Amino acid sequence: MNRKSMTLMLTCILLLDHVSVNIDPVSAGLIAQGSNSTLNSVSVGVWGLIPSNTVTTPIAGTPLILSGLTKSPPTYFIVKNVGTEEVISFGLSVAFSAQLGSNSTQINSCSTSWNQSTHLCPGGIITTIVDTASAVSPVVVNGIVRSIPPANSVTYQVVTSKTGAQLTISVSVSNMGLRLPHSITN
Amino acid sequence: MIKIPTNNLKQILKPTFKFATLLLAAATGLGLATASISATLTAEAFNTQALDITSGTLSLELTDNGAGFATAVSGILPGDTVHRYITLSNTGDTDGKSLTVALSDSESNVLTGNATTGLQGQVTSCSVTWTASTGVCGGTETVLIASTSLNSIKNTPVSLVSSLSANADLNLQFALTLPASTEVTINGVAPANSVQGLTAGLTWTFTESQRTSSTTNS
Repeated sequence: MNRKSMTLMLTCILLLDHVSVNIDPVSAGLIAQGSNSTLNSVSVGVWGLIPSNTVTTPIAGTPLILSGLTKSPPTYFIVKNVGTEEVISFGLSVAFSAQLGSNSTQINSCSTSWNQSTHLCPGGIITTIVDTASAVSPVVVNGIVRSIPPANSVTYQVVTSKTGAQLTISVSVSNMGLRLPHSITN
Repeated sequence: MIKIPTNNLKQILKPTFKFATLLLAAATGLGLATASISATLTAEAFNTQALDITSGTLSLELTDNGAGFATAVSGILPGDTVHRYITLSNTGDTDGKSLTVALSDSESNVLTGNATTGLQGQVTSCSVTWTASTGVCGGTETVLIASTSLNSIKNTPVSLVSSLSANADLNLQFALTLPASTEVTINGVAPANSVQGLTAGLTWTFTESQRTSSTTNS
């Protein structure tokens, strides 16, 4: 590098040193934020009923099949609330075997609790909620009114006039069968 | 007395003058400054009281009013509306503007992922503090955000108010609604695309910016 080049370079450095580079800053100004430190949690309820012939191990997604029914004694099954919401009304679909013929099978409810030894409804009222007589399979009954809190169950009695009869029972519940929609203010 | 011939004097002074000129030029060229020997008069004036300049502050605080965001909503059902109450306060000494609300969800499901079947929200302000226990506004109610899907708010922050003065409060009611629908559960199994059992973990973020900057003479 000769003397001229060095002089030129030095001159450039001196010039650059005096050039102020003005970069226009992004004028965001003050910004304030506020947010909830605890998550605003919103969870939806669950509604579901399962038919079962055992209190302890109801199986979801499977209709209850009651086969080999006898005239006596009656058979009992339960409808268990496996949701988080109290059920107020629900529906039953009962398919029955062709061998029932002109015989009939009834499903009865007890407004209190069945005594499964005496087959009585002590202090309560017995109501037949399904009757297969003169009906075409399956029999569907909706709007069966019965309050069933979560994790609770209700027992129903099956009485048939035909030994060996078979029933396939499904239980359905809609959110319309729960409490009425409401507005919570506190 | 020594007499120097004129020609000789010129010869003697000429180089000396040239040297002085060169020296002066060099000093000027180098930008050297020399202290003046002779003192000059100077005068000063200054403010005896310091000019204080304090920058403004902008701060936004969110507090629950009764059942606020910290109070979980559980067991909401289709058709239900749940109210939550909060107070937004501009605790700074500067007016704020362009207050917006944004939403994020720690969960990923239809509650905030579907504009139709998911949660809907409406925001209403009250000129005085809401009575959260009864949902009553003792002053003037103003709907700031009409019923809008949380999916929409999650995707695009929504404007709440154009300004919020320093030390002012905004009393808000959030109405969260799960749209009415009918779902039938058979033998304990919910239908496809069910809303049952879903949870949303919502974080509401409010943002305001400083008032428009200005030039004043006061």
